[in-house]
Parts: sequence; C-alpha cells; structure tokens
Amino acid sequence: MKNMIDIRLMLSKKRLIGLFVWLTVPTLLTMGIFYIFNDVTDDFSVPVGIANDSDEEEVESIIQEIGDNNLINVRMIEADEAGRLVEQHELDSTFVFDEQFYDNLENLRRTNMIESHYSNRSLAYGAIKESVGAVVQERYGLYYAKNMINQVEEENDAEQSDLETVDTLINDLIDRFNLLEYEYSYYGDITPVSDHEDMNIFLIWSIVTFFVTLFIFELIVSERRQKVMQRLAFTRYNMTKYFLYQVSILTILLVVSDLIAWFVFEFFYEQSISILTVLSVRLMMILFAYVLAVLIKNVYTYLLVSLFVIIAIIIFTFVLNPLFVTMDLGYLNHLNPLYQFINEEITVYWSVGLLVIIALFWRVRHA
Amino acid sequence: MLKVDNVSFSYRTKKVLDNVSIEIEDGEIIGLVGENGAGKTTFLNILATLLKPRKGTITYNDMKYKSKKSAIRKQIGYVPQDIALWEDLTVMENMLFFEKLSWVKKSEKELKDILLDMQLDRFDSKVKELSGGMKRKLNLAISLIHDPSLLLLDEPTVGIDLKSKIEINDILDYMSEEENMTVIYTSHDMDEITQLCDRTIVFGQDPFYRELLEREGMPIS
Amino acid sequence: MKWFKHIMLFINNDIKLLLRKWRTLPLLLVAPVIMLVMIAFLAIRFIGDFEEMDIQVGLTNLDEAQETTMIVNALMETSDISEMLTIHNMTVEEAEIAISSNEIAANIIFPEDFFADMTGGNSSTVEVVGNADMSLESDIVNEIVATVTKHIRNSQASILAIGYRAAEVGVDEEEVDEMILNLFVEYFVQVMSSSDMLDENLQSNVATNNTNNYYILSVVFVLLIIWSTIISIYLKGETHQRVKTRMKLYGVTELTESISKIAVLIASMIILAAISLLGLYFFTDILNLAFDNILRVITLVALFIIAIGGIHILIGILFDNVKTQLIVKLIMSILLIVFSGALIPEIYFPEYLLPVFDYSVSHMTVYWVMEIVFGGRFYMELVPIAIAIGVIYGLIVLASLFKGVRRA
Repeated sequence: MKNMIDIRLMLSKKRLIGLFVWLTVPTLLTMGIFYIFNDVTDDFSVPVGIANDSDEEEVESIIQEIGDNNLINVRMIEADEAGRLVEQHELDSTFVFDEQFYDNLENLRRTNMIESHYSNRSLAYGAIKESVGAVVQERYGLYYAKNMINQVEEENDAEQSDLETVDTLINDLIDRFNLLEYEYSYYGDITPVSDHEDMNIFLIWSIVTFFVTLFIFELIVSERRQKVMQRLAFTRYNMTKYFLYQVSILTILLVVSDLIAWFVFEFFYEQSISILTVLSVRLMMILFAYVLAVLIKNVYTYLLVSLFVIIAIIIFTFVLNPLFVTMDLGYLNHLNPLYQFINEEITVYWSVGLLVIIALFWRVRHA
Repeated sequence: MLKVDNVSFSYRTKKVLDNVSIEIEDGEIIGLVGENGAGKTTFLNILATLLKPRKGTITYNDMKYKSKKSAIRKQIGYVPQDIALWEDLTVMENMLFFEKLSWVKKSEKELKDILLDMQLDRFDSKVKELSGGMKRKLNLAISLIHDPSLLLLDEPTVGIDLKSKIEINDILDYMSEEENMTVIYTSHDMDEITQLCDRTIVFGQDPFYRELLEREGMPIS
Repeated sequence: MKWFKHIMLFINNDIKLLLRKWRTLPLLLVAPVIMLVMIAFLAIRFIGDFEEMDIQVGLTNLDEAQETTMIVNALMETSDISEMLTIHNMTVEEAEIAISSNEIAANIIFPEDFFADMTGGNSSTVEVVGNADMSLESDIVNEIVATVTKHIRNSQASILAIGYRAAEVGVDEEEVDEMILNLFVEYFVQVMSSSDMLDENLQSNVATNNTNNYYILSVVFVLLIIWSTIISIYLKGETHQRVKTRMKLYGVTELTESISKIAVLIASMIILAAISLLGLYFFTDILNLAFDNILRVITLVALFIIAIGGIHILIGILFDNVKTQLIVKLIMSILLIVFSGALIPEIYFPEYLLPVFDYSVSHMTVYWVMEIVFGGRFYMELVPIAIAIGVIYGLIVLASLFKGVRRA
C-alpha cells in the first residue's frame, strides 16, 4: 500500500493543487449554493402596485403593514394605471384603495372594499391576495369590535369607547390571556420536515459531491488509456489490482473531505445527519464512478456521461421525486441513486446493484 | 528453453498464425521478420502472454503458458513498440515508479546502474525533453528492472539515430552473451538482423525476406 | 483566398465529425425536449390533480359543548375548506387506525373545553396529526388549519374585548356568552370569506389569454440554449498537438478553426431554430402575426443564435482544459436561461440582480420576441444585442490571435 501511495503522489505531483481544490470544492460549493438558495432566493419578491386615493393615516398604515411582508415589494402607483401595469406585466398584481375605502372601513361595509387587478401570468396573486386580505381583515376586525362595543355601550347607557381605547383593550387582553395555540405533528412521533425555511444542506452537498467524485474519477479513465499501462502485465499488480489500489486511495481522500463537510454542516449550519448515512452514500458514489470509469474508455465521453448523470439526478430530486409521490409512483423514486440518502436512510439498493454489476464484470473478464 | 508447438491464432476470420513451431535455447537472439501484417507482433504478444493462442502449446523452462502465466510473466521483460513511459515524470521517477510495482526490489543506485549501462545519465530530465533514442533506451531499461530471463522487444530501434541504435544492439548482445538472456525481437532493419541475430523467423508469404536472408547467409527457422 | 479555403476545409471536417455522430447526437438533441415535455406533462397533471384534490380528513371534537360543535360546523362549511377537504367525524382511536391504513391524510383535533378555554382566555391547542405517508396532502391540511387558527387567534382577542366590555357595562353572563358565541361564528365567516373584500379584475392581453403559448415560447428559447450547449460540446474534437503543428505549416491559425466552428454551430442552430419556429407556426398560433413582425422574430432569433454560439466558441478558446470548459459552458447555459426572463420573469428578481439583465444576451432577444408576439409591438431594439455580439466576436478574434501567437 505504501508503494501505491508513493506512486499516486508521484503521478499527482503536478496536480496536487488541483486535487486539493477538488477535495475542498464539495464543502465550499455547497456553502455557496446554500447561500444562494437561502439568502438570495429570499430576496426574490413579488412586485405589487398599490394605489392610495385616500388621505387617511389609517390607510397609509395598512399599506405600510402590507409592505412589511418580505414577499411583497410594494410600489406606489396611480389608480388609473393599475390595470395597465398588470396587463403589461410590469407588476404581478395591483390593489387600489379608493377615496371611499376609509369610510367603508369605518362603517363596516366590507364587500368590494378594495379593487384588485391580476392576470393569468400573476404567479403569486393567490398568496398576495391572502396577505393583503389578512391585513385588511385584521383592521376591519378592530372596527367591527369597536362597533359592537359601542352598540353594547349604547344599549346599556355607558360611555362610548373610541378606537384607541378598544385597540388598547384588545392588546391588553392579548398580553393577559393565552390565546389559541396550534400544533402539527405526524402520527407515530415522526417530526415533519421543516418548513422550507432552510434548505437541506446535505441534499445540496450530496449532488455536489457526486459531481466532484465523477470528475475526480476521470483520472482513472485517462490513466487507463495511457500506453504506459500495458507494462502493468509484467508487474506485481495487474490492471484491476492497480486501479483498485488507486481507487482506495481516492476513497480515503474523499472520505476525509466528507468528514470535513459533515463537521462544518453539523456545527456551523446546525443541520445533522448520521455519519453512517454519509459513508454509505460515499460508498455508492465510489462504486458508481468506478463502474462508469470501467465501462467508458474515452475521457471526453466519460465526462459527458457524468454531466448527464448529474443533470438527471437534479431533475429527479427537484422535479420528479415530489411528483412521483403525489402520483402514487413512489417506487420510481429509487431510480435516483441519492434518494435513500435524501431521506436520511442508509444507501443500500444502489450499492448492492452496483456491486452485483462489478461482480458480473469480473466474472465475464475471468471467464 | 522456450518451446512453441503448433501455435495458431486468428483475428476473427483472418488467420494470422498457422501451426508455428520453434524451439529457442537460452541466450539466443532471434529476429522476427516479415511484411507488415504478417503476424510478427501477434507472435511476440503471444510469447509475452498478452494474447492466448487459439491452438497449440507454449512452454518456457518447463512451465506451461496455459497454467503458469503469472510465474512466466515474472521472467519476461517486454519492450512495446510504443514509448510506454510517463512523459511528465523524469527518467529516474519512471524507473522508481516501475520499481515500486516490480517483484524485485532495487535500490536507487542499482536503477542508476541500469541506466548508465544504456549510456543514459540524464536522470532528472523529464521524458518529454528526451530525444527519441534516449526514450527508447529508457523504454528498454524499465523492462530490465526485474531481471528477466526472456526479453521480448517490438521494433526497439525504430526511428532513432544510428549511435543509439548501435548502443541498444550492444546492450542486447551483452545481455544474451553474459547474462544468458533469451532475446526475441521484431525489426525491419536487415543490417541489424544479420549482425545481431543468431537466427531469424520469417513471417508471411512474401519470399522477399527469405531470399534476402538466405543471400546474407542468415539461418532461418 | 487561401484563408477562405482553410475555413471551408474545416467547416467540411466539422460537419463530417457531427454527421459521424448521427446515432448519438439526435438522441442528445431530443432528450431535453422529452425531458421538458415530461416535466410539463407531469406538472400539468399534478396541478390538475391538485385542483381536483379531495383530501380525506378526520375531525375529532373532544369538547362536548354545543358551542364548539356549532363553530366547528361553521368552519367546515366555509368555501376554502369544503372545496378541498372531505371531513369525517371520528374518535382519536379511529383516526389513528385511519392514518395507519392511509385512509385519511390528517386528523384535526379540537381539545376538551375548547370553547370554554377560548372564551375564558385559557390555554387551548388545536392539534393536527398528519400522515407521514401522505405528506403532501397532510402538509396542505396543516397549511389550511394553521391559517384558520391564526385567524381565530386574531379574532379571539377582539371577541374577548367585546365580551369584557359587555360584562363591564352590566350585560348579564348568559347574554355575554351567547354574544361571544355568535361573534365567533360571525368572525370566522368573515375571515374565511375575506375575498369578498376584494373587487377582483382579471386583466387580459394576448399573453395572459394564452398562458400556454407564453410558456411554450419560453421553453423554445430554453431549448435553443440547451441545444447550442450540446452541439458546441460535440464540436469540440480532440485535435492533437502534432496535428496542430502540421496545420500551422500550412498557414492554418487558431482563428481559422474558431471561425469554422462558429459557422458550423450557427448553421446547426439555425436548422434547429427553423424546425422549432415551423413547429410553432403549424401547431400553435404563436406566430400568427403580421409579416414584418414575423421577420422581426426571425431576426431576433438569428441574433440570439449568433450571440450564444459566439459565447460557446469563446469559452472553448479561453479554456483548454476539457473539464473546465464543460463546467464553464454548463454554468453559462444556466445563467443564460435564468437571466433570460423566460422562466422567471425579470420583475420577480431582487433589485441588485436586475442590472444583470441589461448584459444578458438571452434577455435582450427574449424580451423583444415576447413584446412582439404577445405585446403587439411593431418595433424592436437591436443596438444592445448588436453591441453584445460585437464584443463577443471581438473577444474571439483577440483570444484566437493571442493563443496563436503564444503557440508559435
């Protein structure tokens, strides 16, 4: 084994920096993609136009509260351009608070209080409508409460409370009393997957590291082609043994890279997964890359096929897997080599399958 | 002793070797000649255990090729026609690389001695910086690391300068006489064949080579 | 003249190389089409399924109070809930069995003393127990019930305030309780039909009336980008250094090779674009336009192809290493797709990313094609794309010359 390590060092001499880069790439690239997915995508927002034809402070405060939603990017517009801006798709949707709005709010006339414009290309109208509706409804609820309180006070000859008093009373009660709570869990004490707040960093890592593994194994393909390899027949090691040793050395390096990634994600991103699960997927990736490297003799073809495999896995993971679940075609999910890992299971099926293929290779070659 | 008995070989439907039989004593230098595609390299590769004959048997020092391939390979030094070296490594690094893979352990000094025997002293030069002749010498040197008793060479002096050619031939001659190494090689250079070889084997149907060798008084098998 | 002959020779060579791969290349070109069609088909089916979804849900009311039954019934009849969920009353034990046998996606549990606790300001928790095997439906139920509970919380304080003040002014307890009950129902009906507050207006134009057509055209542009990447990868032959040295003796330069590759790439892309446009013309009404607008669309597509073809060749010149080249081409393709505005319109991007669109050659062309086809425009801005093409091809010339000099 020492000889094999010396040999690998000799051959990698020129490529040591490259090798170091490739080994740190999974962790660094994962962190980069994670940042883009979490932070940059959070900055994506829906451009919503709001027209305010009322002079009331109350209405401005409602619009302010709508704008506090991170999803919504409020742009103040004129009422007469509300329809046109949506039609030309400069804005996702628009809402008009006309001059009557405040009056309707005060007098509890809720039907058609706000004019909204949307089109079939409004990607987020449903959610925006819900959000705007919730803010206005809450304000309406306050006026409704004041109205009811004033009615009761009138019926009982009591002093009429103004809006501020009612608002204070309500806030007071919120502080004093326990309001209704809500709990969600899966039957059988299974914790539901978290609310898409943070993407699963190990998911990203698995795809990135699979890609890196396949690209690192390109050196197996290119070395096999070298004329110098014909000399292996006259050494202690035949081609298979020689490359098995080289693959073992690469595996050790990749496992070190995996452990670094695991450590970083566990302690700095507070996302955890069992090390055994990580090592099992590492085994699968090594076997997969090895099978591909043995099957494909041409370096360029190998790289193209590797790229294709990664693209297929990405499509499976983000598009097909969720769809298969809802269509009761869940068994097709196992076509994705990373499926078990993504579900935090030990990767077994693909590893076993690949071992069977390798065993068949050897049998055929030695037959 | 190398014994070849009724060996035949075909590439798909094309018969390349047909009932070839020969006995070669230790220390002999045998030349394989013939036109292109006649089967010289195929025969050499069979002797090198890289190809299996369709028919016939081969034994070397009473070891059957069929059953003792690994043991026989330890005794074979094979020099391919292609320059089979790591271009980006130095001369010494190439030697060390193959020493580490070899059955026989050699010290750095011993490796250098092999190179010096070849008049090759540019230990720290990268292979890609060497001339054709030096590359061929290194190609040969690597095959000698594990002290083989049977040396098989495929056109070892093709495309190199006269001086290097002569140096390589001298080494082969020395190996054969002093080390009792059996040398079998293919070549198109008739002068080289007639000067170096004890015997020749002629492949192919063309009588040209046979007539030429007979004119030179070269024994033909 | 000799220079031109060389270019024609290389073009001939490259075409031969491409045609030699007649078995695999068509497969690779058809694969993205199949993939996108499959995704679209599955997505449409999924959305179709989603809209027709009828999720089976259990309901356990542990509160014997009549008031809770009334509230629960009122809630369940609200349109949002009744459209998507089919409610079955059951006990906790029955629900557990139903979840285990995947008969229901979730069970909603109203706790004991729910109404009394709510109106008395005591702690009370509505629970949803989901089914891990039907996680998507279960999560939908979660979303709905969470929203309802949030609304209840918001209203709860208001209702308690009314009750509190009523008690303060001397209304008797029984009356206050009845008032609170009615208020809860009233509030719930309000929050669940909040869309009554909106006077909704659906704006329509050609694009919005034909959302499918809009997405079909977007997909065509995405395909053109993907195809250009595939062909440029296939054109990358492995020319040995020794062959290149020989060619230099005949006066062949790096630039000659680049020009021939560009010519072949663009010619192939034009064929594919023509097939796509003809497909659009015959199978959809997307290109049902005035003749001069059709010409404008063709011009824009041609410029689009020239630009992205040039980008691929430039990458090939700048990066010798095969792995690096492949990765850079892949990243560039992704950026061209993302920043074309075809899949995610520009307006949804964060402000700090908007300037990128100004430099995106894909956006420069996609935007104007969309405006012409769907916006009814009779005009297009060619200056930005012309400048971009000028820059790209200028860089190609410079890089080729520099590389040629370095190799000499």
